[in-house]
Amino acid sequence: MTPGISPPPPGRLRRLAAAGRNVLLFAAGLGGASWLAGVWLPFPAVPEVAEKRAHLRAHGEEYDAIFLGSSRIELQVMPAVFDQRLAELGTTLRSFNAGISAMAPPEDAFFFDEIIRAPHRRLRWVFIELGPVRLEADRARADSERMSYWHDAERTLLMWRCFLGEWRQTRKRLGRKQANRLLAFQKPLQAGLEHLFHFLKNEVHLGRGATLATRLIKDKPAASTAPNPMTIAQGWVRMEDLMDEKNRAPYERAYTERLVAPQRPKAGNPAGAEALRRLVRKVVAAGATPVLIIPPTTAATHFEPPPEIRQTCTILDFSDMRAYPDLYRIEHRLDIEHLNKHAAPIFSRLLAEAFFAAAEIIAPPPR
Amino acid sequence: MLFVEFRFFLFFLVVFAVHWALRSNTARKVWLLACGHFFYACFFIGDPVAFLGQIRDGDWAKMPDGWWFPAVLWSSTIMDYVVGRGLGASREERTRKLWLLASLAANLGVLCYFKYFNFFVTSAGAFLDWFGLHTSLSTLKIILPYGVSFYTFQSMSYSIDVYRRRLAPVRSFLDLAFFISFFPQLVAGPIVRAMTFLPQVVEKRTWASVRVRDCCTLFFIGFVKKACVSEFAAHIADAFFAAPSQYDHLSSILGVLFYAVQIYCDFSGYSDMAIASARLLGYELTPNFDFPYFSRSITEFWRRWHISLSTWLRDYLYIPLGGSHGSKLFTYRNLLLTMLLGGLWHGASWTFVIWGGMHGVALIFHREWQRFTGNAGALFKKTMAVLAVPLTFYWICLTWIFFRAAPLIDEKTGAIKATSLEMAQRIFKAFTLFGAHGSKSFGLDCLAVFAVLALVHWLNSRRIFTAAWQRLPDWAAAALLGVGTELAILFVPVKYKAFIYFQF
Repeated sequence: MTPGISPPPPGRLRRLAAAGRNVLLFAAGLGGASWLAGVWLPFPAVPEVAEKRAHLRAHGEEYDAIFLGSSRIELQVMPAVFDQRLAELGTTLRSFNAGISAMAPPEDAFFFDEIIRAPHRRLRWVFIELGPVRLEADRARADSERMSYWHDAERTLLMWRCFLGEWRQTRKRLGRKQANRLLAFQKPLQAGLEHLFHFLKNEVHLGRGATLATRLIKDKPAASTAPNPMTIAQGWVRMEDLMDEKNRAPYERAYTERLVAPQRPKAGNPAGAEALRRLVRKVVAAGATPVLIIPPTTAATHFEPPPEIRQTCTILDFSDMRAYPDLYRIEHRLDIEHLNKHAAPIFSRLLAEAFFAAAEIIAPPPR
Repeated sequence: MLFVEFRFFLFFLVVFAVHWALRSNTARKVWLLACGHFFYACFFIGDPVAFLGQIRDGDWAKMPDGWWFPAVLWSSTIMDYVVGRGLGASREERTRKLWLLASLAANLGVLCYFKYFNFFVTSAGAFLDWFGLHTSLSTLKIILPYGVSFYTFQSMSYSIDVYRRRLAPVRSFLDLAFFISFFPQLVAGPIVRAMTFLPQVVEKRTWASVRVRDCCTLFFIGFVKKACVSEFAAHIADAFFAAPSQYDHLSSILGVLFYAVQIYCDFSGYSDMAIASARLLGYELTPNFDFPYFSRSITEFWRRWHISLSTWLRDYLYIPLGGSHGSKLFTYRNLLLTMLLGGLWHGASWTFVIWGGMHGVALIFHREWQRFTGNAGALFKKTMAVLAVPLTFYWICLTWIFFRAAPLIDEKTGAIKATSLEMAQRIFKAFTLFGAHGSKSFGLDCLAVFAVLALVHWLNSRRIFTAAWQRLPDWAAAALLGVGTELAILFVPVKYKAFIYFQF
């Protein structure tokens, strides 16, 4: 025993032990009830996500290929055109556009996990849009269920790896004696904490019962007799028509810049590479072949996959303005990042042709 | 930072741990004073790190509105400390009166400027217009500091009690500053009297006196009331009060009933959480609610609703006005005046004055009723005993219509289509005279929800749950509280509304 420190009286020890036991029992009650609620509650009604997930769960057996990614997939890939072009080239295939606006890694992997739980015996190809992990959430979505629903332990840990990576980069950039260090670290720290809160919110199903209860008081929509738009468009979402004036100048500037300095690959945060590795592994484990897409944008950089992925996966790269001039004409663009509805069939056909050429090299695994 | 937010739990955890880890009473008070001001500042400055950056860069234009409101709290505290010392040092009654007047003028001046300036200006303009005297009085862009009505009343209670020689003036500025800025009751009460709280500040609080289980239970109940029940009721009440003419008869009644649920659960839930937080730190606050909707008269209602305000008004307004020591008319004048001013305390609008007036008239009516029926037969008394609670509740619901009514604003142009008073009249008609002809309905589901809530509340008022809960051993209570917490979290809407009483 350390000299000078008297042991706590036995009554105090007993009280401490009882307090510890009560805290543990409280946590057990909370955890148990959260687990039960998770089993009982339906998948959250996240706009777009819930619809596409439900469709793929019900019709997963009908598709040979799915496209995963953000609005650059959702708005730009027309599965019907893609399938038709492949048929013309001699390959029969039915695909579905599972792209969802603003879906970035690792949310895409969570979504893939969700849809792969249903039978998917026909699935042979998974097209994945290449993109980095974004630590900071879009402010408009920050408090939405869309941000929380994919924060399971696996994805949250990955986001924390991303946060720690950013933290280290900031520290390296600033050095030790920067006066504004607190403010410089604020953004990654805030983002890291936000991801932790989303994880907690998701684990305890914050507000899910309230959402169900609120439906009680809202006018119930009449059952629709119209055909399911998911089935008709195979997940493709029609976008705006032409570029508006506020997007024109930035696009023209970026276009000119890319003519001089073409888009270059950038590895970025190591968490992005890890997220892609995991998704590729999941796709392979599901018996399909991953195909990576670099969409046609005029951004200065695009995400560079790690070397082992570059060696094993096919990458369909549309970032070269000279190779795909049609995709960069101003009348085919919505903004720097997106094509418009006139270019979607063009892109879908080009995608089919590039894939057909690559598919001859990489044979899909036998089913 | 609302009590129901996750960041409050983190904040409180730090406050609680450091408070009990500190040995000296002075260190604890300094700590809680700093926490109180941080808590208060959080309502105005938004992101603290970004705020510090703006101060460092001298970027005053981008500072959030009201970032300087904590200075109002400080100046109110300093002024009352000086007044207290002045009152303590003066022997002459005239000087003492001047000190008191200075305190009242400063506190009420702050309240009048922030809360009532625009109301008085627009009302005066309308009044002069009525006489054909067209004026061009302009209003100011004033933001109301959170909790100003609460902490000015607390400060005034200190000055008045020192003036009345019921309380010795505090020597330590820290004690007074701590009393006024104690964060659990700072922004929405309960309004704690200096006489009740200051003696607690002097003594060092002991952990052994804290009943953790009871505090956690009370906080949990408050959390459920505010975060789950009140927020759910707000969905219905807000929808109805925004467009009352669109709803049918039953829904009009439900809309008003759910507002009664909302305001009770919102405010009493906040009070429960405030009392529980204070108890966890070793301090006792004034109870604020005692199942007021089961009152058998308006007089009883005011003994059970917002108790800290009603007793404050009684002791610092009604009794100084003369109370019931005089003729019947004199008493009724005092009652009516107290309730009218009590109504105005809630907000700068004529609807609040009408609300207070309705309560004043009901209090007078109840006194007269008691006089007339004092010698009535047993059967009459039994019948009235059955009808008293529903009739009182019905009247309270009628008054809530005026309390809640908001102007109808055109979404496109921003023009006022109907004033609060006109909206209140429409709702009043729909609620009392079945004047609702809309097609929208909340449905029978909502009626069932209301019935369940009423039943649970009634069982709770009979202490049925309390008795069963007390019999449970601590370990079972802890596990059940864990399960209950998860259930509560399930029914918390992700976006919270601010507490209704913050605006007062």
